[in-house]
Amino acid sequence: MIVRRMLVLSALFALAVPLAPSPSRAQGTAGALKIGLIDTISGAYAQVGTDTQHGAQLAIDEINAAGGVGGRRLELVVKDEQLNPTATVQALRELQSAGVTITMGYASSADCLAALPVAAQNDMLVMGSNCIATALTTTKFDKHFFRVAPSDTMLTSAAAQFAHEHFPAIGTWDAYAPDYVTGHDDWTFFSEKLRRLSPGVQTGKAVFVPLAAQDVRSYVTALSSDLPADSAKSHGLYLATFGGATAAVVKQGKPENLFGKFAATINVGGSEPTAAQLGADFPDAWFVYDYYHRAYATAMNRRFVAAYQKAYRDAPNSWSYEGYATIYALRSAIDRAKSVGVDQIIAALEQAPISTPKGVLHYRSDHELAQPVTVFECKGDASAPKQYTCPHWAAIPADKVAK
Amino acid sequence: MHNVLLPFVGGLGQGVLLFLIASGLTLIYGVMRVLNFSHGGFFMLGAYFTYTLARGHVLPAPLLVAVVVAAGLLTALVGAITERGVFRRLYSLPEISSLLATFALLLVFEGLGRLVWGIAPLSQPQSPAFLGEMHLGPVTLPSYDVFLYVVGAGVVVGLEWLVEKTEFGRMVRATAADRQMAALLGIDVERIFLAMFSLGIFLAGLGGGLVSPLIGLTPELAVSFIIQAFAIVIVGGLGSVRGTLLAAIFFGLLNAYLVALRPELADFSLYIGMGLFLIFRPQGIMGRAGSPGELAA
Repeated sequence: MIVRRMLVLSALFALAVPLAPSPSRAQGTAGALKIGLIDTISGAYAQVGTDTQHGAQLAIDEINAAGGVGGRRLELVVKDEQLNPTATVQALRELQSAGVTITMGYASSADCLAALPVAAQNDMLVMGSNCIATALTTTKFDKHFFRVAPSDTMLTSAAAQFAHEHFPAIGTWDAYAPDYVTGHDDWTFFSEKLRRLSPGVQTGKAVFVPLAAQDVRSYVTALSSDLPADSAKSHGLYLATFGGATAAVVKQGKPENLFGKFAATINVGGSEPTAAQLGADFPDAWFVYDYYHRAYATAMNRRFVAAYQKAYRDAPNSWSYEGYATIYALRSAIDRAKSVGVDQIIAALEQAPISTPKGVLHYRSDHELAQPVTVFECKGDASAPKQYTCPHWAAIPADKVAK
Repeated sequence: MHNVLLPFVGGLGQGVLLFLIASGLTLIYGVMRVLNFSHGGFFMLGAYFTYTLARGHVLPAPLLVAVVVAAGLLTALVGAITERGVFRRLYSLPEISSLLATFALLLVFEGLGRLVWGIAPLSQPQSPAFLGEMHLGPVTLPSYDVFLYVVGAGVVVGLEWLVEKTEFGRMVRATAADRQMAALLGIDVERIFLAMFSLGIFLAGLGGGLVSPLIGLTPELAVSFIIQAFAIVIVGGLGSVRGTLLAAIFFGLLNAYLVALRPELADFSLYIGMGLFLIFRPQGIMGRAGSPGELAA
């Protein structure tokens, strides 16, 4: 009874946060061109939203300093969606009533999936800077959605490609992944692609962990207890956690030397902030994600990294990159369309080359950005200034991650 | 045999950690009849205080233990101030009012955590001495789990001694049973409340400090364990420290065995355990039907 009361009260609190509607104003042809950034600015994953905002704002400052787009300044309107699809839709409606038709950000796939039908109904553009669910460009495809981050299928495909090319001696891959549909589907996809590339490779034990689990010692034991004595040479670990879930498995796996029991660890979806959080505790692992600032030798990347370091005193990460790349993708499209109409921008995005720090890229017909996926190795190092180093990196080409 | 013992060891460690978090909650309810939803906030403060005092550095085990205790004491100090400022006004109000007020307090602590420590996750490294393992026949025990067993046992024995064997404990039990009669008999009820509330919050801070080397620290820590802790307190029998220990170990073992044997059900272990108790023993392990919430060690 008490628990039920608590849950009802919690739900009421969550739902009862009123957000004042903005005054209605159509996105006209004069004044600043407003771009709505809907992302998680507060809560456990606030770094996703704030870094995306930093990258986007940097791009906007650069573009405005060079005269804007079609003579108009760009302006970012930030809405905190709190990693909550309901709040995301609310933010989208507020932007719509304020006349903002171009939106970007969206920290999670659930947010993108919730926003897309509303955006389509109101003829708004959804630039999925962060959300990675493959369904958004397949079963849930809508012309109003364009993805900037690689899809989860592309990330998993890159991981299998990398495992095949760099760890041919590993005969068995085990998994530690979050217990939700994408966690299961991605592991299946990784296994199938790896077996296609390396028919002799086997998949071993797969442990799926609840998303909110903090005490994961039982899961660590379940994973490590069946490993053979020579696992440090013969087994690889497919790790699909990120953020706090990675911190928990790293810290709670340490007494058992969990990561030392594997010849290699590939962390799909994880990124440098996790290594920064864990510092010297971080094991030797290969991140498979969107971007690493040293992995691309383009002039635009050099300029982006230098400007970002100057503005924020840190190197950009994947989320900063995604914010930055989204704004430049929009600029390319608006320049080509010579219009800020949503239909014209959609048509231009489908055709225009997009300049990004990764290079010049193109959207595919399913609105997936054909792009390389970045793989980089990080490991804890108590003697390094940041307590970790990332000594190796590679870009898996777009054609090898497409399927 | 090995596969049967491994989940037992893991589940026991998990259970003891849950007990340390939930024990303060049951103590506060047992004496003051306040469902303290903000307990998770104090737990979060304990974890962050540990990180701040240790400056995120690797510490030798004795120093880390001292830091965790100091963090617990600091949390208790915050608890004492909160008791004077907020909780004292809630004792005579209906449960729903205290639930709402403590929920608001939980949100305040979460926001405070964000303001003071920021949004980026922080990490308190484990002491090297706690990273080892101890071998007991066929069973391998992580050193830190063994340490947690000792702390858990110490808390149970300490609380039992305090509540059952001391003069202060007799006054606490009298206050918990009938605060008006206790006051008429000359017991300083306000002081008893302050002391027991601070003790309960010390345990929350201690739990937070002990969990800090195991997880990444974010302000959301305030809500991450609170539902589990409430479930344990309810199943243990509201107000019963021994019942809370048994319930925590029950939930720890249930989760560990489900992870090992039926992993597809492990995510539901909390609901399965609660469901079983609500059907077969709704008053909880140590609770008595019709009179929930009497303080007992």
